Amino acid sequence: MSPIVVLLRLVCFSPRYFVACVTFAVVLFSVLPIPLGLATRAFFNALSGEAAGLNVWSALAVLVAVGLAEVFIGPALGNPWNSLQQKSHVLLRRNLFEGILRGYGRHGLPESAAEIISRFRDDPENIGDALDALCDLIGRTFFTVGATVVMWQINSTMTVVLLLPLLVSSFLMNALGDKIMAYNAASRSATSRLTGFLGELLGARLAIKVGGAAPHAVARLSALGDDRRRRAVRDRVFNELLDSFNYHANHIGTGVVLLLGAQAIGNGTFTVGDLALFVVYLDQLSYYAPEIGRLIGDLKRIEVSYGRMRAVVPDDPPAALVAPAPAYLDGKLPELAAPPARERLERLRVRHLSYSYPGGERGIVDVSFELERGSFTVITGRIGAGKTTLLHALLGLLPRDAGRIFWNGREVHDPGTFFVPPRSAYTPQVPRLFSETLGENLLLGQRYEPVAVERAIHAAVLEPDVAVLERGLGTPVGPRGVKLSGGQVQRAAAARMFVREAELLVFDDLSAALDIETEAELWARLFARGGEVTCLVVSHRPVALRRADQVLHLEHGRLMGPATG
Amino acid sequence: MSLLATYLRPQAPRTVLLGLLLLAGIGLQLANPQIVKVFIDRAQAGEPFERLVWVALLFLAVAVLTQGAAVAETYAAEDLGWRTTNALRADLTRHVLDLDASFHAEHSVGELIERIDGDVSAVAEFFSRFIVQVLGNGVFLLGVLVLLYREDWRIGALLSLCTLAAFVFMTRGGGFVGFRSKAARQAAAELSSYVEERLGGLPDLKTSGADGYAMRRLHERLAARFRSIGASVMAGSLFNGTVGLMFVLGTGAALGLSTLLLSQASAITVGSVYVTFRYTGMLRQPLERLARQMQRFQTATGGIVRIHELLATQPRVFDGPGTAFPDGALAVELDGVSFAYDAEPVLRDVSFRVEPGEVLGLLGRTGSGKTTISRLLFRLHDPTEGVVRLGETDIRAARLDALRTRIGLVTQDVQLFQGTLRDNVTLFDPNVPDARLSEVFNQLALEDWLRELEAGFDTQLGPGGRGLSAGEAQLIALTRVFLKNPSLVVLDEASSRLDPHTEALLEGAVTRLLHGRTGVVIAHRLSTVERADRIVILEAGQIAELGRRADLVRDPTSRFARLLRSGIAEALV
Repeated sequence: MSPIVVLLRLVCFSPRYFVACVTFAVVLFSVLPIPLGLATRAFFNALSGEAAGLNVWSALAVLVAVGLAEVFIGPALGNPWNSLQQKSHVLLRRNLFEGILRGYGRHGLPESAAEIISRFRDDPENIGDALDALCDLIGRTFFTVGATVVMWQINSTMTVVLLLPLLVSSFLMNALGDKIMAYNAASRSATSRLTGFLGELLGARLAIKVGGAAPHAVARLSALGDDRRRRAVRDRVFNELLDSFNYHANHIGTGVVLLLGAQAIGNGTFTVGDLALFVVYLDQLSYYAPEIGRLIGDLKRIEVSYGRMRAVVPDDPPAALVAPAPAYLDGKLPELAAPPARERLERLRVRHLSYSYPGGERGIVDVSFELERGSFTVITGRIGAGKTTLLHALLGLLPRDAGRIFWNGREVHDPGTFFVPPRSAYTPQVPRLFSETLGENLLLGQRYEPVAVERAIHAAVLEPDVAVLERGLGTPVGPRGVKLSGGQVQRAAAARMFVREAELLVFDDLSAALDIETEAELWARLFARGGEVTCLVVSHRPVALRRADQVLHLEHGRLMGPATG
Repeated sequence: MSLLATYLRPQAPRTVLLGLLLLAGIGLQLANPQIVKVFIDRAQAGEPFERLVWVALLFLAVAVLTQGAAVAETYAAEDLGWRTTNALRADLTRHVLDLDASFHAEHSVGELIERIDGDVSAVAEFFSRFIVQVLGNGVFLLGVLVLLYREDWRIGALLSLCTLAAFVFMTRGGGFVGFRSKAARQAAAELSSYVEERLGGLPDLKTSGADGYAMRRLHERLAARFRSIGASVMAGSLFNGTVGLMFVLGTGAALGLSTLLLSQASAITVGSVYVTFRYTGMLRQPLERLARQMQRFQTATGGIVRIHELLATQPRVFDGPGTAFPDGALAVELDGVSFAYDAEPVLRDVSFRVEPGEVLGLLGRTGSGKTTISRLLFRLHDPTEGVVRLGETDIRAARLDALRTRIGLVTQDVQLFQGTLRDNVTLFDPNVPDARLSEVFNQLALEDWLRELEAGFDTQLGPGGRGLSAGEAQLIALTRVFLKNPSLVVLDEASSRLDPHTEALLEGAVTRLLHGRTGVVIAHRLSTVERADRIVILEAGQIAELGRRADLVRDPTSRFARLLRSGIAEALV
């Protein structure tokens, strides 16, 4: 998608901030500087004895007034350039996050979490910068036109000679645009590699400690750091080369003015005041080509950054990341949607479900089975046999290659959207809690009903733990629930599943972190609930297998034999 | 400040070069208006056109050289900044990896990335922009003021006063800006931390129907960041504006003064007024850059303060004087050991002994303290009371790495990385030959599994080890331990997630691993514990039963015997 279109969409998203920002730029870069030049001219002409024009003191007063206005226009308008940028960051980030949520079932996380965070954090900033550049450019364009008119009327030859190099340098910037993009992309990807690796190191710090691998790991990190240094320096120096060429163009321009003015001053057609005006306007004009260049550079950077963001949500249409959505920056927050209507499960039918991981070998092939209301089905098999794969393909956490799913005879086309509470709920094999309170983790936005929560805690054999915690359900559990033991995390995840009171309960190896007695208690309580709830469970515990109405035995991704308990 | 000095010292020659380039650039810039002054005065005096042209050409030459100096400066500054902060980044990472679990419980990975890379990058900005720009601009300003004095001491004095006032304001008034920018960085860290956590738990979120909730919480953080940045920017722009105000008034006064002096027929010429005009114009940018850098200084100091805090956080467990352990299998002893995480005691007066080469089975409900014992053995924590001994030596007396190379710990939750299988098994150690890796895989009877992988050791694992099942991850954990060749093996619930067939495979390998080594096996499964010579049963942090397994089995009243009986149905299936 063209970066200009991205920019325009962002402009349309915050029209009020954009207008304020353009107003600010026009005032700052045009409306104020033009009289500044004219007043300077009048000042020097008066000093050097020219009769016409303002007297010295009036000219000076104008100079001071314009200076004061320039200084305070920004805060007076509320720094609209910042609000414009920040609001666009909000849109990009919330769209990216939502896209990740939406696309998970189709492709998982396309990059490591740390890499995605790097993109989430940095790429919207790159894109937002361009908005500022656009407004500045609009502001300066007015000045360029006005100043050129004034200068032309003083000395047309000089004006032409001065403007030519300015135009040339802007073409130069455009031609080198691809180089800019390449260097910038290289620098950014080096940063991502580094933060990605850093994130993994930190996430796996126990393994590093246990393996005594800290020196080696940090050596690898340093190597990545050196790589980034080289690329970042190259990126920055290249930019500086282009920037400073334009910035120093005004010095070169002044030199040209001196050269051409040498004769004109002698015969009186060019005054000291004119010289001063040309110098002042040149100062401002010298920013014009770099501003064009800056915008062009920013557009290239948009291309890189937008591309990087899109790589995180690959199946979404190109415009998805800039699709307008409420920004909720005024103190309100989005309302939580009501869960879908409860649909009593009579029968779940799975036909020829298949999925194979990229690389081909592992996965499930042609799995078919049926679940009746109130039944207890156990999936069992060796490691790598495909048990978790089966559950994930069914629930839409993986994009199935083939197969059909029927809920009460109705086909389910998008299991990822369909298999949510109150139809189904899931406890993963490695559950994750979030750094909120235990209660918030259990509810995750669901409405708090004390009876349902108590029932869920009881079913998950979690009451003794809740009683012991300092603030009960209000206790914060730390990042990934790290303040709780492994068994408590597993049971909390089970309680989270139970509190949803779903028709279909899916557990992946629930008993992994539980000792025999606790686990036996949990099964006992589950079975005591009776025939209302349908369960699909991965286990190899005898107590589960014995109770099963149906056992699905997977081997190398295929179902072995008929299903009976 | 001393932090920066430490990291700059190894880069001294580059720093000096940077300094020289800065001075050269400044000199060239200051020369610029003087040349124009000469031009104007000679033009006013009616000098011939040819001589004026020479002046103009000199001006052009100086302009070109100035640009070259600017580019060279940028290169030197940027390079220096990255080199110093890369060293800081590595040290910070090393330090953080050594900190204990209680620290990591308070700080998520996302937040730490923000500190180690985000804050340090802010410090890199500080090096390459602040030092160069502030020092460079400072010298430049001094040069301008000196030259203004040369024109007329009164003009020089006036503008010096103005510059001084602005400078004082900048250094004093920066406080409230820094405060706001630290808050803005904090909001950014919280946002990153939120996203990182949720990314790790997407299956949990999606299957719990919590997408909308996740979006709502995201908007909370986004709005918080928006507000805090807005406040920070407003503080900054008011700050900048005040500096600009001082300057505008000063310029006006200086020009007014020079006009008066001109009319009094002193040494001032029109050229002098022009020079005054240009130099006061040159005061503006360095002053504004200084103001901007002061803000960034606040950001960087915010970052530097947090980096200092991080470095000051010490692990509670540190090296002892360095007593060595004997070779071969080691005895393990806990002597009156008590431990509490915060206020809640987890272990109370636990004592037991394992002879060299023996295997201890540790049983008990979840929360009874078994995992804590494994962590105490590995010295991830120190006991609040009592002594842990390895090979008759208090483990606190030894150096940490000496201790930890002798112990192999297999945890329940295996941590894997994006990278090759080799990287995951050797943990980035480049010195392990593939032949040794193959040997280890053979010893574990995993050669078949390895053969199934096309790329062998170069097989790429996805982020967080995607591409391996939980059971296969356990195999990797065992391989890591084998590679280490420890004297004590601590197996923490290693067998819980595997199916019976693979468990049998592993049990054979584990038996081989435990041969000739001391072992402490923590499990829920009674069958796992059958290889044990001794048994310890924990309940609520205290020892409920202790003895040789053979003895306990024979005594029908022992808890162990009772557990065997209640779990017997399991053993038969």
